[in-house]
Formats: sequence, structure tokens, C-alpha cells
Amino acid sequence: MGEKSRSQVILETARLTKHFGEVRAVDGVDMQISQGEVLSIVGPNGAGKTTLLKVLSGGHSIDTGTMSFIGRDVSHLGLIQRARMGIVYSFQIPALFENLNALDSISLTLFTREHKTIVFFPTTKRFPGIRQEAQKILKMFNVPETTVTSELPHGQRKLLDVAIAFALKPRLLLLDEPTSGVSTEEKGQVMDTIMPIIRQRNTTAVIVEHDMEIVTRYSHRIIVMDQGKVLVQGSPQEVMNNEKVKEVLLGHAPSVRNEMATPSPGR
Amino acid sequence: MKRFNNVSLSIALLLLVTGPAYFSDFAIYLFTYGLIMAIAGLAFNVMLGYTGLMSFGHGMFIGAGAYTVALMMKYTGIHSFEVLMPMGIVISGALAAFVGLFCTRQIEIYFAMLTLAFGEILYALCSKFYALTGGTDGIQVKGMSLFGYVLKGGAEFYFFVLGLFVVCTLAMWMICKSPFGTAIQAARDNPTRLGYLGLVVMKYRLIAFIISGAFTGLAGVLLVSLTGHASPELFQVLTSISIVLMVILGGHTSFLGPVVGAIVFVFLQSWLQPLFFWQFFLGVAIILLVMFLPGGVLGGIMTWVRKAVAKLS
Repeated sequence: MGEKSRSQVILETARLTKHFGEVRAVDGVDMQISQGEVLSIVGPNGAGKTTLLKVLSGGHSIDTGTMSFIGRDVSHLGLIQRARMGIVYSFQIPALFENLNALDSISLTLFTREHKTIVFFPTTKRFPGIRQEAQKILKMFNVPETTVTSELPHGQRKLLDVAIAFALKPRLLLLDEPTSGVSTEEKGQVMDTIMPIIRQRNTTAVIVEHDMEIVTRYSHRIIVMDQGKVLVQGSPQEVMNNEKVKEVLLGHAPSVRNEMATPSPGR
Repeated sequence: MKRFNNVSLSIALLLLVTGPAYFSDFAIYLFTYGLIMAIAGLAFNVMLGYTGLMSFGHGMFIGAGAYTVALMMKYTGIHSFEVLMPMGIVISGALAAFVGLFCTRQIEIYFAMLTLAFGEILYALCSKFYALTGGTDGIQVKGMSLFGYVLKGGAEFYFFVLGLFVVCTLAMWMICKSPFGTAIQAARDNPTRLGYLGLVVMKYRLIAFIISGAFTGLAGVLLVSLTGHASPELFQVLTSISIVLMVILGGHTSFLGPVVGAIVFVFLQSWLQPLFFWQFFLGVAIILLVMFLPGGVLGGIMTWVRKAVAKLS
């Protein structure tokens, strides 16, 4: 972390732990995230990546350990308070409003951000500022405005899920496997849509991802997790050349090995 | 499609406005009744269609509106709509706020059963407090006035109800299309995600329930003014179920479905009632509808029109 100390740390955890019965899903994790940083979390299946992300979001409570965000102890805050502070989670399996279209879904997020959800008048169409911003966001994410969400193809559903989180203007965006379930050809497209937006807005993001090629390409820093613990952290080069990492990722995670052996075509 | 909607809406409204010129007195009565129930149906559908919660207790708001009028008339002698109507709305809304505090923590069958239970409790209270409410005999209500003018039954009262119906429909349409309306639809589709956006889902359900209860209370005020009699059965599950049936009949997936459902229901009821087992036919109609037209009468018509328009263009 020495090389990052010059920039402002916005999130810090100390010995963060989450157990499910006997399973130590997250086991004493110390981590820091700086403003504007893109941090990826990798590791074999069951390493505790998604659990860690949910613990950060407040979706899971913390068993022991502490977490502070922009200088405030948020260990005991729930999901809703953390979301209001700007920690926003985007789902691995898209969690969308199936009967609304994309424009209404994004507008709702913007109304939420502007504290206008308990407003009964006028109709949503008559908020030109909100509507234009929603249209702009959907254009950036390449999602059609008026198609009912349930009828969108999977790749666009993933993008819409991220767009909903992004529209809140999060101070910390937590992306849980933005490319999972997307075909290998589309993976590049999805990331090439999401990452430039994050970079351009200088959004701080934590990304859980399986595909090592994507991870090394887009992150400033990588944390490798195994059995709930942080195994190694550092720059993409440092992590990729680490012997322990090679052993864990290649040793008992065939899915990761396959993805590493066959980089996405078309690039 | 949009033009078709506007044209058919205009025709329907024109028919309703000019109706008394050629309707029989009985048809005017049925239309008045239908429009009152349409207000209740629209209000009910703010819960079912938009918030995704099925209430089996909306009869309690009909009852609350009706008994506000009946009790105020009996004990204060006030006969004027301009006082009774706001009172009915406020008291039903307050009842919804109280009941909603318990019910809106629940969803699906638990919400339905809790609302049903509260309706039955009020029914029991209303029938047993004989000294205050007249028990199962109910209370007579008559001679309502509007700014000093005593409304006659028939066409005059019909136009009064029609006016209120239009106002209520526009108000509820606005609410459903507003930012709040989008939020309750989102709460219906994915309450978990709403929490991840930082919103407290229960708050939205509760506000929707209060709005729904208040409008249904207004329907209760009007209903008792039409029939001239407030009885404890209004609170009861049979009243609640008929509102549910109207909305399912008309179609809960379209905003105006409940209006069509309420009017069709009222006319069906009056035609079939001479047959002593008219509920049988109503039951058959509902079964056929749910099986073959899940979007209700209006949903079915709209699908059919959409197909026809697609064929033509």
C-alpha cells in the first residue's frame, strides 16, 4: 500500500470477518481503497469474494472487525445507510425492475439520488433534467430506453444493473462479476462499455471478476483471495508473477485456468 | 394506438356525460353505483397492480367512509358533503395508516390475511357496539346537501359522482405516473434492489396503502349516500372480495381496467340477480376470465385492438 499512500484512502477495513456457521467466508480481511482507484478481487470459487463485497455493501452484517468509510466508522450501519453514504452494489445476477423499462429504472435511481421519490406530481416525464440525464446514462451504457427490462438480452441486463448503481453517483461502486453469464465474445464488449465510464468519472470501484485477462487489463490493483483470506495484493504485474497466486489460481480452479489459457477473441 | 386510446376514452366519457338523457332511472342508479365502485377499484389497484400487494380488507375503508358519514349525521346533524367528504377521506386514510403499520411489513398471503383480519375485527366491533352504531340494523343516511343545496337522487347525484370520479381518476393516474408511482412499481418488482438503492421499501408500501385507503373511503362516503344505509357488512370480507373481483374482471394490469371491471360487475350483478343462484354465473365468468383472459376484460380488448392495428398498418 506504500505506493498508494499519496492519494486519499476512502475505505479501510481491519480484520473483517464473516462466518456462515462453520464456513469462514471472510476471515480477517485488511484492505484499503483510495479515491479513484479500481481494485479487483480475484480468487477460486468459494474464496469469499462475493461475500466480502456484500459485507462492504452492508448486505451482509459484519461478524467481527471494523470498516471505516470516508473517515467514519460504518461497521454497524446497515445496507440502506451505507447506500445513502454512497456505497453502491451492483448484482452478479441482475436485480432489475422487470416490468419497468430502462428509462424508468434509471429515472427512479436519479429521483432517489435527488430525494424526490416521495413526490406525487407531476408525472416523471415532466422532469426534463432527470429525463435527459437518464437518457445520457443509457446512451453511455448502450441500453435501449423503452424496451421492458424483462425482454432485454442478458448482456444488456448486466449493463443496466451497473447503470442503475452508477446513476446514484456512488463514491464507491461495488461490481460483482460484471461479465458473469455473458458469452466470451460479449465479455469484452461489456467491460469496454463499463470501464471507460468508470475511468472518465474517476469513480472508485471494487470489482469481483473471474477473467484474469480482464482483471489485469482494467485494474490499478488486485487482491487475490483464498479461503476467506487475502493471499496477495499488489499491482497486476506483481500479482500475476507471484508464485503463490499461480499455485492457487492454476492449482485448484480449473475454470480460471481455462479463462487464462484462452484470452477473449476479437481483441 | 395512442390515438385509438384517446378516441375511445373521449367516446366513453361522452357516453357517461350524456347518459342521463336516454338512460332509464334504474340504469342511472347502476351507473352511479358502478362509478363509485370504480373509484374503489382504482384505489384498490394502486395496491394490487402498482405496489403488488393483494388486499382482502378494502371493505374496511368502504365501511370507514360510510360510517363516518352515518355517525356524523346521527350525532352532529351535519348533512353537508363539503364537511362529510373530507372527514370520510381523512378517517379512512388514518385507519389505513394504523392498519398499514402492521400489514405493510408483510407481503403476499401474509399481507392479504392481515388486511382480511383487520376488516373482520372492524365488522365485529361495528355490529357489537349497538349503542353507538345501531349494530346490525345499521344507520339510515339521507338528505345530503352540497353548499346548502340538497342533492336530489337520480341524475343530479349521478353527475356529482361522475365529477368526483373524473377528479379521482386523474389524481390516481398522476400518482401512478409520478416519481412515487415509479418507486412503488419498483418495490413491487424488486424490493431487495430498492434497499440497495437506499430506500426503505416499507415506507413506500405504507404511503401507497394510505392513498389507497383514503380514496376507497371516499367511495364509501358516496356509496352510503347512494344507498341511504350504512350497515356493518360494508366492512366485511364480502365487500372486499367484490372489489377484488371487479378489479380482476376488468384487468389489474391496465390503469383503467378496474373502471371497466366495476361497471361490468355492477351490471352483471343486476342482470343475474333475479336468478337466485347468480353467484354461480359470476363464479363461472371469473374462472373463464382467469383461464383465458388473464389481463381481464380491458386487457383482452387492448390485446385484440393492438393485433388489429398491427394487421392494418
